[in-house]
Amino acid sequence: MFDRRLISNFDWTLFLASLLLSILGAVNLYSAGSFSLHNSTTPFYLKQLYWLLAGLFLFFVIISIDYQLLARYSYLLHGSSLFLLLLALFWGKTTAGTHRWLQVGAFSFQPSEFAKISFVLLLSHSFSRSTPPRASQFQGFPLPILFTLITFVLVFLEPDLGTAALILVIFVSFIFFAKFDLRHIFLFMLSCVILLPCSWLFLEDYQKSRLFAFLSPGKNSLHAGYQAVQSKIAIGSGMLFGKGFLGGTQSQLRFLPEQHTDFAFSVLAEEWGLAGSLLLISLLFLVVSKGLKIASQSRDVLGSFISFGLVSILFWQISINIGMVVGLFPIVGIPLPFISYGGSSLISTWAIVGMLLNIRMRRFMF
Amino acid sequence: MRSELDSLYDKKLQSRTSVAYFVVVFVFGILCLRLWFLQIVEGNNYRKLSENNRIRIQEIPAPRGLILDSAGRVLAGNRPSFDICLVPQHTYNPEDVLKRLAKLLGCDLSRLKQRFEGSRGRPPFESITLKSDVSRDTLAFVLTHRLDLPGIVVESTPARHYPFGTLACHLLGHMGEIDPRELARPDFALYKMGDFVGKSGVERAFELHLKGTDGGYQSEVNAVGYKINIMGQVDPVPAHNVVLTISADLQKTAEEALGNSVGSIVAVDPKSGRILAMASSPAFDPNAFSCGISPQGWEEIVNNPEHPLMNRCIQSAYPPGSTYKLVTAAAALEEELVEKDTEFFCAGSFRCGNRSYRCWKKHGHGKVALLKGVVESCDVYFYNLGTMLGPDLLAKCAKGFGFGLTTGIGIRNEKAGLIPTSGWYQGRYGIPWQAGESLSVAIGQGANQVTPLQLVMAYAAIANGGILYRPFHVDRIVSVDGKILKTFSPAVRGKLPVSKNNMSFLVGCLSGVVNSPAGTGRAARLSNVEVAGKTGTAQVVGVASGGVPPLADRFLDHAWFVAFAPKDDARVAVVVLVEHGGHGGSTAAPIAKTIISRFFDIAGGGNV
Repeated sequence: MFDRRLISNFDWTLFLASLLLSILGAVNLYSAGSFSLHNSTTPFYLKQLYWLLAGLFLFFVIISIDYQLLARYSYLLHGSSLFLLLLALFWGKTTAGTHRWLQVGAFSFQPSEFAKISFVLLLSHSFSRSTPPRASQFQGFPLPILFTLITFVLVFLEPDLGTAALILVIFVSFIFFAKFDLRHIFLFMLSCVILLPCSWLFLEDYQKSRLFAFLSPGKNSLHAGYQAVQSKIAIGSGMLFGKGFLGGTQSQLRFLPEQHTDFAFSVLAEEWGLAGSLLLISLLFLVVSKGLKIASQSRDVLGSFISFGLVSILFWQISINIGMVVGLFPIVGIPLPFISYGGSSLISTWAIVGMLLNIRMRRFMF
Repeated sequence: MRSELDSLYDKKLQSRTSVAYFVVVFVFGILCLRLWFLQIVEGNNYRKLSENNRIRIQEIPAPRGLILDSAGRVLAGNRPSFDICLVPQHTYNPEDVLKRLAKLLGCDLSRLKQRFEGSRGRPPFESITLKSDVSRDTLAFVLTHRLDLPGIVVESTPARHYPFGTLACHLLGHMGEIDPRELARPDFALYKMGDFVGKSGVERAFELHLKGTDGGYQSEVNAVGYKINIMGQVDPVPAHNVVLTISADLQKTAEEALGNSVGSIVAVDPKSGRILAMASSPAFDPNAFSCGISPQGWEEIVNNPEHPLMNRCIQSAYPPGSTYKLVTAAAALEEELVEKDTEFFCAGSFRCGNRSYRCWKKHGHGKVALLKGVVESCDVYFYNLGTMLGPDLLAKCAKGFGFGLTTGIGIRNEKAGLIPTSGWYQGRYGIPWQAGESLSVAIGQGANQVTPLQLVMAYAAIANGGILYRPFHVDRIVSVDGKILKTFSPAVRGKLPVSKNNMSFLVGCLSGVVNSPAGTGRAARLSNVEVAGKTGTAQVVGVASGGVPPLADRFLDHAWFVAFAPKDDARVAVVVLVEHGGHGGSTAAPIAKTIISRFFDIAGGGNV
């Protein structure tokens, strides 16, 4: 059963770049979480390394299952993701007024991190089957839209504004990729423009103030703007070569909020400067471009769709997160793949890498 | 094989991926440019910001709303409290600084250290309050020595201030540090540990109006903590002011009239239920709580056997004594058991079963009709009514007067009192109602319990022609710029179960109590207004027939007097209760007189 071509098509560059990024992330966490080192709990970086092992395990499981099989079960997969989201909404662990976490034994995880992957599988599955080459009329449109809305609403309610926005952005990316008729894209944009102000009604106060803080940093800049300002100071003060490992005053004195999760990049940029941040961005670019290449060279439309969708997850997360910490984007809670602390995030990132390699390895199998 | 669909689609997907590739390059390029701008172009500035300077968030607390009396005098306001704080980041040797500070302030080093240690784990740029609300002298002293005290700063925070001290303390309430239970409440979501919140009275009930929204500013400070640049500011949203119905003048008169004796006074407007004064003695000074009460101060209040925190007007119930005879009379008239001129003979005692029940007048009142019975407060007359009525008819009428139920004034822990019925008695003692009990309850003794507020509201209803109002002590809530946000208007609880005819007869009886030569309440008589009222002397311990009343103070009877004036168009109703004050006529009536006369001094026009 085992095919040697699987090994020969294994993309070592993608794998090693991902591994290097994960290790960089853990090293960065050693610094970002150093304020809690004297605590009795396991330090962040160590936990992150455990998560990495778990992620690698999942990675190997995923590459050994043909993605066509996975896509066939995508309704079941995404259905269970939605179920877990519902579970988290009603029985989840409440932290700071949100219900993003599900507790299983000693571990807690965010179902939304896995929902976005199964969401991509589902969209790819239905689009690749029903999208006609000339997409002027489409039969396959209502179902994906329905699933997008359900997923979006569930994630939005948790409330996880960042991931909810990501779901929409992924959907838009898909529409772009499937080359729908311009008229339909226009229609979709129009409905978004109408829907966006409505969603304002559902935003929590802290989310509104973050948006305000972004739009007018001088005015409502207290707590929401504080994060953005401190992050910019941290990054800017890194200059060309940074302040050195464990030398970041912004992070070590704990001016940075959420410095081990959403703002992990600021810590790295402060301590390693422009040189370090460019290295990191290059590695991330490498992963994204490798993924795009896999999308363009896969053996079937399904593979193209899946890999494109997964790469768009990575790409949007990277650009939104870095855009937010450098002050180009409002602060929404989106982790930086590989770098931010968080088991669910790291494991799901490795699941994405696994899926990409899965498709790449089977590109010459007919 | 690639399917036909796949190959048709292939080219399109290829072109889309290359578009996507350009998007990726473009976005990553923007990110790199931005990083170059932040780290290279602006790098030096940000480096400086991070090294010498720190961005701080400093809160600007919203001043708490004022509590005003009906004439607009400030009963609860704010004053600055100066706190001495330490910013750990700006100090080199905290141990040394604390030692020096302790020496300067002359206070205990260990307590300062305790405060300091308690804040471990917080960011080093956050100040730790070492000593709050220091005197101006201490403040000047510390400020002149600040060069020896690196890291020590003085912060000013508003503290609650009650300019009249103990005046109306029970109504106003007091402040205290928020406790974890309150923090968990959803409507307290904007509060944080260490905030002060209202713990009782209006301060508590109107907390969410009185508390504004804190503002703050982001400032840039230099290495020793001085502000050099304010980067952004959010102004605090001021709180609302609460205007009470009470008059500080009348309140003061009431509190002074009570003096050192333990008791309470409530004055209301009979035509609306507005509280004009509400005094409970002993009082406490709410200022002592404003910056957190000292352990000794707290000990003193808690261990005081008279419970100064208790508002006796509503949180304490007593037997109403003879003031209750009005209810008995009304019940008997309404049930048509007696006529106004039905007479009974009082020989000084009344036999029931094998026991003899005394009248307060040892030698008896002779022939007594209803008017004389009320005016001279003849117990035997009402023993007769009680026997005829039984407990349940009387209780029914008493409920109609608002007894046995809370008045709904909206202050926590209001007592409902107790009006015994035969059913209650059976449940409580396991035996049927005893005939002798009917005698006790008819004169307001036995198991009867009423609060002073209930009593004055019942008499106010008699005075206004039978409308039982719900009392209220907050008139309106006003925004800082004078806009009225909410007005509290009178609310009717019910109508007295008494006919117009009987009501005016009863009012005449009450006037007789004060104005006729034999009346028990003559001490409340005023020359310019016709006062109507009723005395009451509530027994604390039963006195056996013919026995000598015990002399110790704590066994003395409670003295009641409840009145309204002017008789026919009443503008004020007052109740006075003096615990262990002895006779209502001699102890409580003169106090009521003082208050009524003061009311007309303020309001003007006696001869209405």
